[in-house]
Amino acid sequence: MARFADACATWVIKGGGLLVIAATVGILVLITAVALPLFYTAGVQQSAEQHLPASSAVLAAGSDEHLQTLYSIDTQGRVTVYNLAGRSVQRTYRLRFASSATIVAIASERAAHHTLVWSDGVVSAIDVNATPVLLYRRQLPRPPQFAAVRKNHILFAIANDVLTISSPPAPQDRQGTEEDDLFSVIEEERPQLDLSFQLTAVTAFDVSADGTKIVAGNARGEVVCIELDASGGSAMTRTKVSDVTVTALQYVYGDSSFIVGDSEGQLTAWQATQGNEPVRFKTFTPLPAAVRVLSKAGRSKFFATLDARGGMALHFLTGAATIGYIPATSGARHTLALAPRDNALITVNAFNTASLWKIDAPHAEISFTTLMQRIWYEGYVQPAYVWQSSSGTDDFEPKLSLVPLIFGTFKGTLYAMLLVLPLAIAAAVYTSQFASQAFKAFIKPAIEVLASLPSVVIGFLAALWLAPFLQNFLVTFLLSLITLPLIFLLFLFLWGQLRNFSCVERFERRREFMILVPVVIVAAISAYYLTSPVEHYFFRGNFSTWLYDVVGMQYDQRNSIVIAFGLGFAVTPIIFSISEDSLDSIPKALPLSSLALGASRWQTIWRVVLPSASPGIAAAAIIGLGRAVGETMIVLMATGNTPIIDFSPFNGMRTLAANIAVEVPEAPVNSTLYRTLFLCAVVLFGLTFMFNTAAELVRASLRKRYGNL
Amino acid sequence: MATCKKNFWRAGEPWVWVSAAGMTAVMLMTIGFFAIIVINGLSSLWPRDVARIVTTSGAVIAGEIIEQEFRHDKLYRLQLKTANRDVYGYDFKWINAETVREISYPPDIYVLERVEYGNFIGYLAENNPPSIKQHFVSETLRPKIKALAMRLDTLHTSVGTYNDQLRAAEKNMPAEQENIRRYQHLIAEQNQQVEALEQELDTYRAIFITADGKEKNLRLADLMRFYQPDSMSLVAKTVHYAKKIGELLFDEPREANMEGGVFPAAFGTVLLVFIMSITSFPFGVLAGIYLGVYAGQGVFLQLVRVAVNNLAGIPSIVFGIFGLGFFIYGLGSGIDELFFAETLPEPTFGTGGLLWASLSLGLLTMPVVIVAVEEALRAIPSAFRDSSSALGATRLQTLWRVLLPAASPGILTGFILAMARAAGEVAPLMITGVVKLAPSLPLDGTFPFLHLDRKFMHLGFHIYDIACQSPNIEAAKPLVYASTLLLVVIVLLMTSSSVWMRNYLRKKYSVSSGF
Repeated sequence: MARFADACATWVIKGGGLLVIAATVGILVLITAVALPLFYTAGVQQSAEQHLPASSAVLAAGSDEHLQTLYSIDTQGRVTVYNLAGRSVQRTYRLRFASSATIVAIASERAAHHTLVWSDGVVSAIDVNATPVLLYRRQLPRPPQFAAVRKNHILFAIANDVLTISSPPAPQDRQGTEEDDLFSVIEEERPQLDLSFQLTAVTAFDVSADGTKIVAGNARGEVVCIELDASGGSAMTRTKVSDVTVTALQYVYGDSSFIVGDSEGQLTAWQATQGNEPVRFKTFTPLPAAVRVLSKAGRSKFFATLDARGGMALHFLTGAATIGYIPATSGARHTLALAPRDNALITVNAFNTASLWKIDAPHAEISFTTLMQRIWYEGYVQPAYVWQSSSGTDDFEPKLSLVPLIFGTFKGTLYAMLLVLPLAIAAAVYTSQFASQAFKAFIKPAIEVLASLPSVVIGFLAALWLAPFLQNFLVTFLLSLITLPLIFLLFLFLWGQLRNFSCVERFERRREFMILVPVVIVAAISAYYLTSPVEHYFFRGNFSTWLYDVVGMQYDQRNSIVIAFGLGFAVTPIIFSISEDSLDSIPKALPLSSLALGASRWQTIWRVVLPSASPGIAAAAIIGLGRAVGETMIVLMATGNTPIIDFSPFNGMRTLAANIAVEVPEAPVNSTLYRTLFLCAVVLFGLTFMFNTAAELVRASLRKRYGNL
Repeated sequence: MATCKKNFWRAGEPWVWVSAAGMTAVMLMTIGFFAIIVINGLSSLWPRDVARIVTTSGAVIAGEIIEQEFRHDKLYRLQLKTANRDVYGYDFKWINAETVREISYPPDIYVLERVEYGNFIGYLAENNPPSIKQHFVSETLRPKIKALAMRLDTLHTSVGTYNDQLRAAEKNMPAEQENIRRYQHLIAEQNQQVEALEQELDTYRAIFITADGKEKNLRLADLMRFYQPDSMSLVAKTVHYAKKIGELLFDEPREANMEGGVFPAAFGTVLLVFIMSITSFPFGVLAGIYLGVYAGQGVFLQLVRVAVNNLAGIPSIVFGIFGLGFFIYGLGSGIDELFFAETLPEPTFGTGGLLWASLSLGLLTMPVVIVAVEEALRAIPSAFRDSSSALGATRLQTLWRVLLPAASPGILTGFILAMARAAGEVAPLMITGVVKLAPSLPLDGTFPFLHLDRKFMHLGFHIYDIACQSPNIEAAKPLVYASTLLLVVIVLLMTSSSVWMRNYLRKKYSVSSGF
């Protein structure tokens, strides 16, 4: 019985050991598993096929929001809706009954919204949403080459290389012409607009959704950009974008940039910032043949391309990513559209077969490139590392670069270490080598208790006491960095003289740190009294305005100096106690023999004790570093949490840990942001794992070296 | 003499002083840190005198002087807590020292602590009825108002329960037509009583005048407490101070956590630490026993050590995000689908709550327990183990009868250390269920009494919330300093007692091992 119980207990206890491993590995596995889908290769897969009646050529196709039906628009002016589940024609609509006119050109603004040009000069716009709805209709003398209808029923038409922009004519002019149409016209009164521009050899054309920006490409590889302003004025630029003919042009969702495709298959993204000429800011992998169709997404920065050989590809703007190129297998594709929710592609090929391709790319905006490299975002004048996860507008491009966060993490840690390492190590050396036993017996447990100080308390004091204090006494603080060493040196000279009296030397032993208290106080007071003259003579009376005007640095109240002190309080106890332990664990024989050989007490420490203990001190520094890297509350409370890349000690940063705390409440489960935050956690885990392992290795080497003594 | 002087520099004595300077700096910073917490924490609840300031332009303003800013050794400006937020639109004001003509401390000025809009500072008007004036001398009306307020309170609760029953009855509409009518009648009746009571309470009013002569008519029922700081003796102030500390510890927070007490937060912290302890300590002890007694020399032992080391080094926020991904959206959503499907999509366990926060913290503190248990077991002289084995005891018997009793004080120490760590940790809680204001405590009289799925308040988060997210940081400062002091005292008492205990035990064993 007892043996059985013993065996059981052994297993249970071993299970306890196993549980610890399981917990550590489990944490890593789970956070990695959540973050990993960010890097899954996005896929485009055919999910349905529908043969269309081959009565006349299909010009455009699309689907409804739920991917239940497909529709096609053919040259005869028929809209046919197919039910994908039953693989049958649901209904056919004739757009015009009484006319034999055919459609000669079609332009798709976004999913289900098409502008049609008829052979008799009629231009109409329809929206196909389960049933086609006519939004606009107008009779022109001749059918234009290109036409697009935008907001407020403004028509953009190019005929004979002349672009005309015109508002709908007054309603009474159009009375009586609607009888032959199935649908009624929706009309609104708008201010009149009537502009025309002379262009040359136009080969491609697009207008932004709000109708204020127009791009037109020509056979010479040039793009003309026209921007209309609210007062009716316009600005026109002409930019060389390619060596060959521009074959496709399309604004990307959000309309701040446009894609250019040329006859050699080159695919580039261009944007104009602040009224300047457009610049190329992204280059995509070229297509094997001329770009024929560009299709824009209605809700994201996706766009799809079709080349002259009928191969199609899906692209995502932010990372200049091409998500799979699917060559035409049987029959070149000639029509391409993105579904309204950007979750599918609809193509029609030469055999009049329509296909529905499901897009599986929930995190297309993330790749190693977008996370770790400079990205030229829309609206930026150059590539940059940016973290900006959300904004007020829908067409916002999330900028999820981890670089500013990693930089911020190390910036905070670096400043903290600059402050803490010298202080903590000096204090540890003093305590272990020069302090009295009684002081040692008190300070060691005291420091251990200090290590348990809640970080929220440190963060609170740093944010609400230290930050305003430092703002008021910044110059005093900086001056004390000068006065302190000076007065310390002065003190040493005086004390060196005084020490000739042996009573002084006897008194000083083990009390050095107490004797220095008045020195520090004198230094602080002298810095305080120097403040106003120094500020007056050197900094024009006010340091922070001087800093801003002359050096160009902004002084933030919650800055890196505050963080250095805050993190310093958190890591000093750790660094102190580990270094002190390692200094104490040196076999006493070493310093004693050195002293016996006539070395002074400092020489012994510098040449004998410190070299022996250095691995332990290094381990202490590394462990402190690990703690500072992962500290959340102090950084969260005492910085402005701005993800900037700037070494200046007078502004803040955002660290990986604080970023998680700030953003997680706003991140919907399994969204890109959510997974990116888990990725931050993986990076943090990796960093601390690295530091801990390094410290452990260093310590092990120390143990090995002195294990025999 | 020259050689001596030379020695001082050549022997490297200055470097000794440099290391001493490091010690001095660390010491001064630490002392300064605690001084700020203690001084601000203790003084934040002390009743300050109210100063009446007449400025050179003739304006009169009254308030507590809470800060004096010096520039070039001269008093530059004063910060005044003027209170009366509803009258002035602000409750703090900086006054340039040059514009101050006269400062006096009028003994008859009152500070009123109100339910809303912060404090009120002003004089009791002459035209108040004598009974009201009497009340502000000896609180004559207090029992009466208290009784009325209590009756109002019970009425409010009973209206609440009737409303709940009405809503329940309305769900099976046709069957309970009768009950619905009855409840509606009862609610209407009680609402009438509420109105009558409110009206009666409304008759008890006092007119107060601010220092600059603005009148304010205040309901006595809205006043929590009143005092005349400038005429209070030191004893009276101490009594007041003690009452304020009592309020801090045992009262609910008011006004977006800026006033009142921290009871729900302190209670939430204690409950969290308790649940964390009973869920995680057993596993920590098992792992500690494995490392201290059972482990051989092998790859498995190395792995466990690496795991413990790394678990101890993982940033606390990572535990939080693990809790979010695994406990809340993994386990919690699963539990919801299995047992609480009827309330979906409203999550029960699939959102942050006490249980998930406790488990995340449990993982975080486990290394502390493991290391303490291992150390306590290793500290036991091997003679104990050897003699037990020699007498024929099995490993389990040795462990249970000899080693664990001997190690128990050390293990207990580890527990306290882990609890202290848990009490002060905030980051992982922020994403696993802590809230700034919880509608109800996670422990109450309704079945199942302990509500593990509820969100809770926490002292550390309370500090973060009022320090960083409060709309009026100046007004919140006293409370946040007081709560900080409270948290620091709790955590430091726990750690220092356990550290002291451990060191005491170490000494004891180092003597006994010598036999």
